[in-house]
Amino acid sequence: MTPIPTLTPAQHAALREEARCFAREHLRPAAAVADRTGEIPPRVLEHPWADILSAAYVPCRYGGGVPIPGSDRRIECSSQISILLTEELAWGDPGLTCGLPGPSLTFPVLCAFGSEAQRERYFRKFSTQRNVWGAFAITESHAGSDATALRTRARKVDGGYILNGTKCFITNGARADYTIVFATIDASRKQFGLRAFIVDRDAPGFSIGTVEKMMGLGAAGIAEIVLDECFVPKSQLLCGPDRKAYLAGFHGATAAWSFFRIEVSAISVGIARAIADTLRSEYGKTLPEVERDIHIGRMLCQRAAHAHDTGLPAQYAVSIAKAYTAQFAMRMAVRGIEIIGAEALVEGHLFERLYRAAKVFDILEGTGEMQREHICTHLRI
Amino acid sequence: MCTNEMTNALLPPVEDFAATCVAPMSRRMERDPAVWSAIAARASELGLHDIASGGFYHNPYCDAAALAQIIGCVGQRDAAIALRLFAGLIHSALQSRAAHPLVTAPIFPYEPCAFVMAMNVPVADSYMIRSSASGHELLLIGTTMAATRQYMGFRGISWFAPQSAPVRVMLGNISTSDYASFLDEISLLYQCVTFGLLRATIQYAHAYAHERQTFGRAIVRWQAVSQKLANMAIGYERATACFDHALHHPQTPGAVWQSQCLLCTVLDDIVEGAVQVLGGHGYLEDHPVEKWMRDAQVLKTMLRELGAIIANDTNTHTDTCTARGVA
Repeated sequence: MTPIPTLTPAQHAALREEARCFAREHLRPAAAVADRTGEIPPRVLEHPWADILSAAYVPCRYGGGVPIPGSDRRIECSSQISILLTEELAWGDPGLTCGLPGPSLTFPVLCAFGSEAQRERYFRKFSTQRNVWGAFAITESHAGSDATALRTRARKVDGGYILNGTKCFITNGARADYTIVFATIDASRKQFGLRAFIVDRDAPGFSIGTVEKMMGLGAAGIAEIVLDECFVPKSQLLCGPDRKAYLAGFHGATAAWSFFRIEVSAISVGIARAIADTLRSEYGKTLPEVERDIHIGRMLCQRAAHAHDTGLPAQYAVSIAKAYTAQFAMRMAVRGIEIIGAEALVEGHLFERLYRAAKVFDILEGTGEMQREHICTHLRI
Repeated sequence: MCTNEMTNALLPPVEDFAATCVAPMSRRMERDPAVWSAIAARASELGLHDIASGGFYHNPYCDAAALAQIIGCVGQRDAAIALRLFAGLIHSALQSRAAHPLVTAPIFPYEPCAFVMAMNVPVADSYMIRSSASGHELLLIGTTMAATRQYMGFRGISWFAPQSAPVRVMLGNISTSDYASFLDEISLLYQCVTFGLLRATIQYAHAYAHERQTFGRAIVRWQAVSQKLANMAIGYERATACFDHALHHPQTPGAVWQSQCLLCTVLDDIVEGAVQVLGGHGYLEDHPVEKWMRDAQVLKTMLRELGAIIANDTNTHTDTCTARGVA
């Protein structure tokens, strides 16, 4: 078993503090404008921490890794380290957290099923270039959590595949330099017909459709992706070390979802903490039970991340974390508005922005209902 | 014509007006508040302004239940438009309790509330009720309005915040019971609009749950979704039962206040439940539920602020509003 990269408690605290400082001084002040315009302000993109975060999700052997505070060394970004960073960034702004450059949306699939050449090519981009985005495209307008119902088709041709279909709700879809696209070669084969492809932005037949107008998360660049006779070379098919493309498709999706759901849970914890901290520091309202619930949310995330990192069955812990934290964040957003009143509803106010954003985390990466179905399945209910 | 006949004659054209004029303008008004004039003109042709100026009880055109139905019918299509169309009810509620005739002008219905019924109109003169230990006084005040503010919901409406409000004329006292029933009438208006919004939300979520398929079956067949829809319906019916009681027993102390408290309790579950049922689509501007969720939060805050005044609550929330209120 690969040892899990860990930090000492002091390094852990120092890394959290650095991320918190970036979130407080750069993300939070830029959040309202980014939410309204859908653009990430240059002062955020040009900040050294944007590069640090981008490289964090690149394995060390490709020039990435998380810098260890107080040392020149780097450490692999495990899920446990990732949730630490994500929670702090989401405290600053959940929309910008999702929209920052980096391979975080493609990292789990590329790590698990990318060939050496694919990893070398795509991970190197992030450690050598600035402001590069990756995206993960599985959702279609009629199929969210049901990956076996995809209508995007992959047709085998000489030297590769032709993709046809439309993907929606793709985070960073509007700005991604490359996207991992899921398509089926044969719908009747259900999950075994699923394939994952790396599609470059300039691939023929690949285009950005509508940039979605959504209630919140304006900075996340969520867009539609249109594949119209899009040619993808065979070398861009994800097969994994066993060269089994029929497994890489579905297992790639589930591996990514497991990772993303823990991340989304950490974002929800960050939102709840942002509200609790603001109530305490700006309005003098301390809510002791909320502090406890934030701690519980964080513990659930850590438990799920630990299972994910160690390769243990993680779905139950992940679903519990996501189901709990998403609803908790929403409850906190409502409570914040109730306590502050009309002032909290004025456009641009932190609480109204977090209220609009919080809801989506009970929907994306598998709705709360889906998580409850997983929990029931695990418990054999 | 008796009241029932009048109601029967009124409702179909109002429903038609709501479907053909309010519904198509709902999204447009969020982006371009100027479309309001077209809506107001149609409403005026229908006589809705006259109905609004007739007051909640003793309205010459319809009884309170029918009026609630009419407001809800418009609120079902757009809460902000409904509230603005029927804001005249607040003026008539105040007029019926004032010793002096009040000129037709927007009013500040109550002092500490952040929501001023001066929607889209930076009024110079308006009315205010000043409450103190010795009673309630009705004042004509001159106001200096701050720049408009936009809320998360009700985007088609610009709200003006008072910066200073020197007293021009004191128009006499309002008894405590008159003040309470005046606040009750405002609450009834807000509640009618909210019920309309919730009804629309439930209907939309219900229809979508039957249409949308996942894993080979309609999502309404999944227990998690069907129970959510059932809980939304239970919450709605609980709140309407309480509201009907308040509407038909205006003399019962606290009935309106209890109804609005219950409404505030069930409201979040209904609107968030609808967005949840629609999944990612519920979060998109392509569907109206995201707008209803934002609007509902504004309505809830208005009801809560009103509730805080009715209950004479002295929690931090009210203190915050008072500190922000007119001098």
